[in-house]
Amino acid sequence: MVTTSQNAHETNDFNRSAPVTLHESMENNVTTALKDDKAGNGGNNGHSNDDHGNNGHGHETKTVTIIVNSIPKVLPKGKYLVSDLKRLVGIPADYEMDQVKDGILTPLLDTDEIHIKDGDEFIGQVKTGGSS
Amino acid sequence: MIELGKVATLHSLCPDAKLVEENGQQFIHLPALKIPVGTQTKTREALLCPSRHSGYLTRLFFNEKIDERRTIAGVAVNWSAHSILSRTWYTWSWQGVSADLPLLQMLVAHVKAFK
Repeated sequence: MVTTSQNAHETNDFNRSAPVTLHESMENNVTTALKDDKAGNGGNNGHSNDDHGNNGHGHETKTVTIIVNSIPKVLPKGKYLVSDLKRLVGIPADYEMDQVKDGILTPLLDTDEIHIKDGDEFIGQVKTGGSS
Repeated sequence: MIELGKVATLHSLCPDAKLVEENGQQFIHLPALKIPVGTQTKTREALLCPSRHSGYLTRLFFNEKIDERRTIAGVAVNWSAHSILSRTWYTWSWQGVSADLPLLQMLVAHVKAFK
């Protein structure tokens, strides 16, 4: 499970005598990713990253911040099945999920696979409304 | 009453969304709302009414009808015209979108009718 590996990774990454909160460590990773992007290497620091953002050294897990129902969520960079993404960000499995692209709602299927990027926005909600 | 800060949650769908009011009833003005209609996208000026209006829990009004969509869920689209803020706006019969929903989900629940 992605969140478990993230936590395990952070335990290895930081000085155990000076624990860093999950939130702080995630923010550090997001900052690093942004710096890499500005350097023009698309977030890759020159080492081969896998789909979960591991850089091959075991020192860093790259994360991205996405927006789900107006709330920022930090996740490891990578590809996700929509059904997995819903579970990770707390959207119930039977809810619909849409991605907002250039102000347009794009419905996602549970079986779709998406590569999340910093700033991607999603809306999850129960289907509601009907003709009367 | 809708707080100004909550209107900002709509900016991803309409960057210039702002709160307006008429006779104590609040609306959110959406100058250029993009509406997926089948495989196309239509843009309309819109007003979201986040509270009860004309017998509905919440409503979304457009400056023009969306003629491309003749039926929704197998039912003919039943457009009606309303005068709000000294202008004519059009809405359709779409019930059950709760005023308790966050604004973003409320707007999406209306917009997705046309998908």
